[in-house]
Amino acid sequence: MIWVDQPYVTLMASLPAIRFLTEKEPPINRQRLMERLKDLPPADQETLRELTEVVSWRFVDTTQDDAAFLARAAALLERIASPTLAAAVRQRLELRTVIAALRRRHAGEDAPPKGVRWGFGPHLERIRASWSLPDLGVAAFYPWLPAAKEALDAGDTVALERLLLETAWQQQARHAEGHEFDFEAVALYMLRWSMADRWARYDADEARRRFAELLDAALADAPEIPEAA
Amino acid sequence: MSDLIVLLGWLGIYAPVALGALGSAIGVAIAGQAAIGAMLETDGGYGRFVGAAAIPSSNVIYGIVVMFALQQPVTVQNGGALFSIGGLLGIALFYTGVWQGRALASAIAASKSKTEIFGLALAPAAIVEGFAVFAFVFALVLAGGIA
Repeated sequence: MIWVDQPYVTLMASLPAIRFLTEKEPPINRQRLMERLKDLPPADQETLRELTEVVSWRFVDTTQDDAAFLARAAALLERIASPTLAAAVRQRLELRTVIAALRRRHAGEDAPPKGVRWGFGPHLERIRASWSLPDLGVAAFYPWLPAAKEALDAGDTVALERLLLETAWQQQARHAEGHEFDFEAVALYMLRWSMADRWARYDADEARRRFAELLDAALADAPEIPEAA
Repeated sequence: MSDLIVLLGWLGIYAPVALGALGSAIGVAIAGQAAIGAMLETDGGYGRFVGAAAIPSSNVIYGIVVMFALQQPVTVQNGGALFSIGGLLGIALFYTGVWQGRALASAIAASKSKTEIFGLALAPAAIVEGFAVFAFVFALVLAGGIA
């Protein structure tokens, strides 16, 4: 009921709308967002922290093996009381699993051995068994997969990143329907903010890399300038 | 049995005020909290947020008016009518107050970064107000027919 969700009304009304991929940076910076989130009860803050750490790439520890990460994700899913949030996390982890499989196969790796926990979702066995198929046998479940494969094969990392973030954004938006002023709304806002932040960073990194490439190309043809005596 | 009917009659007389006040209080609190949140993110136009947050206040006024229309000596003959009209109007005023508050909170949250939609965003809350007015007006009409 809305009258027991009131701590979230002020918070949600104080957060600016995020227009994904159309802004150079999120409309609220990390510091201000964290300031606003301090108004939440400690238990909610803890859940948000765990949720962000599992879902956001920013917090993924590349030194940690898949099994440890999956165990952490499973533990979080058991603790999350909200079915909406649990569904959002599951969908995000599934997306990450499928794209990881695509990337691993693209890199020439073999299918994960049987009995090893390597991903998340209901189609792990099907993906493993269909490793050699272009769509890993699961395009019917993940409509974005053919486009992702195409971008990966073409080496177009920007298009791939954009496609994945757009897909994840649309999934989150569907979960957010009907949640305006409750904890789910806050958590899903946080996840969308993470995506917008990631895209903004990615964009800046990509721009820097491209600038460096252009600079190198331009300087390669430039005449040598004799040093002053 | 007749005592119970008389008791219900008195409940019916006061229900529009009590439930209307509850609806208004919750509605204004919800919309008011959204207004406070929106003020954190905007540099001006605070007055319209606070003004919009006060809109659910009308429900308790409707309740007071109907209470005066229903006010009369309660008997076994009119107790049922007073309870039905007053009780159902009270429920209607309670719910419209709460949901109007929600609609206003959404309007305030949405229009803080897109000020041009403020008027249009108030439309759902205005429609909810319309339903409260229907319940109010027809309660008055029926109250006039109680012998």
